[in-house]
Amino acid sequence: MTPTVRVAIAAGLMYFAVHGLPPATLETATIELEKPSAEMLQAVDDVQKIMRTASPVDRTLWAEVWSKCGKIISGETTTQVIFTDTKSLRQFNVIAFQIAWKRLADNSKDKYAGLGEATERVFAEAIGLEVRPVTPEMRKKFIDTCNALAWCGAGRG
Amino acid sequence: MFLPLMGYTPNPQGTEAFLRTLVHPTLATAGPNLALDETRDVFLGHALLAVDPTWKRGAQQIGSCVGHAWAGAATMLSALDITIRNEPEGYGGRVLEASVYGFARVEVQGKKNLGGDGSYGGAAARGVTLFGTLHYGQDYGGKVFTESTGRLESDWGRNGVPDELEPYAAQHKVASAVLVTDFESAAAAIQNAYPVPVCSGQGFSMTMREGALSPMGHWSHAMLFCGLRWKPEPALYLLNSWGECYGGSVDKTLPPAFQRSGGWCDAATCTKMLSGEDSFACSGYSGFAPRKLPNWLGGII
Repeated sequence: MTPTVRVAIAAGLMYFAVHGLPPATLETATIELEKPSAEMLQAVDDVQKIMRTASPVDRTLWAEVWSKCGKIISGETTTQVIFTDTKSLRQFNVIAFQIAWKRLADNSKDKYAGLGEATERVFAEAIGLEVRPVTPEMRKKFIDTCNALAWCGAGRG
Repeated sequence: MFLPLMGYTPNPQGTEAFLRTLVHPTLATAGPNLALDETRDVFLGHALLAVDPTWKRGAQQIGSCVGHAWAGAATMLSALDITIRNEPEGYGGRVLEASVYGFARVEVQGKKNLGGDGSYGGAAARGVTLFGTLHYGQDYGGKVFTESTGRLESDWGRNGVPDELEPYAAQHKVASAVLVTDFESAAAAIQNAYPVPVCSGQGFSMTMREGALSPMGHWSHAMLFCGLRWKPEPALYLLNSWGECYGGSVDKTLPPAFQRSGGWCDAATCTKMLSGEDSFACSGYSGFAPRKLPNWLGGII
């Protein structure tokens, strides 16, 4: 190593010692969502209005959780069925939001007035409140509902 | 117009035999940690009306009071499991009094009973815990019971519940019944949402004073303790099975369906009634699978 190279390396190290390493560039995660149908957008209109008032963190969380819920249910196949009736779908919703929305994010029930009621209405209108077996049509409705709710959080309405 | 029909026929040996089958025969041993809060009033009828808003107390037509008191207790227990204990159950309708009465008089005794009317607490306790209960409005292989009739109660009280119905009844049992012998124990049970069917010889005036019952005379009768209040004096609410039978002034804080079908019984009289050692606190009902979801998000958002 020639003296010139040594000086160049030393100068470089001194530069980083003074200025630090260049910041790593992190790509911002984006949620891949299919645009809901006009009918579903209409159904989630109240939710969307409320989510427009939410903090960016809560909007992202909302979108992520509903998006993942839809994805998990879409993973059901004819040979791998976990969610057999509306009770199990409801329980899934409750556990997902109990963990993500309440325990991890520490969001209180009344943080966004009317959000719970508006979301309940979306499910009640899409699927109803009867305890009954999950059919392929119902599964698709559930997934569409989850995606439309995620869309509200992603702010693309 | 009510008929003051009674039908409590004490059988201390029978009740004693039932108690011998229990690991914890009394509330004191079964629930030693049940605390009594001497400031908290409780009325279990609210739970019943929450699941069955049109509920009204029926009127017995024969001496089947034991069946009516215990059927009322099981119905209320079912409602309490749903509304207070949040158990994942649905309400299956009122318990058919004839089923409780029939099991208590025949199946529990192991033979037909041709001897008039009546039964006792220990037999009903064994009946609902061992044989279970049937309900109004349920379809039992094409058979649906829509009204209480003295004829049905007389028939099943003599011949027992038809064998083909017993498997249905076995799906809906009361998990346990433990002896309650004084006001404090009954109050603790009720405060913890366990109704107390009571068998005694205590009678009352048919005219109430602001919903309070006045002890008077002798009734060999079964009724149901299902409420507790501390003021103006400690008392339990005592539901009768003679329809809306009481006159006088009512307790207007009670739901209308309970204002004239029962009344408040003072603590000393309660203890007198319970000291006959044939009254029980009921817990744990095997209810119906829910038919409707309460919601989709469990109230989290």
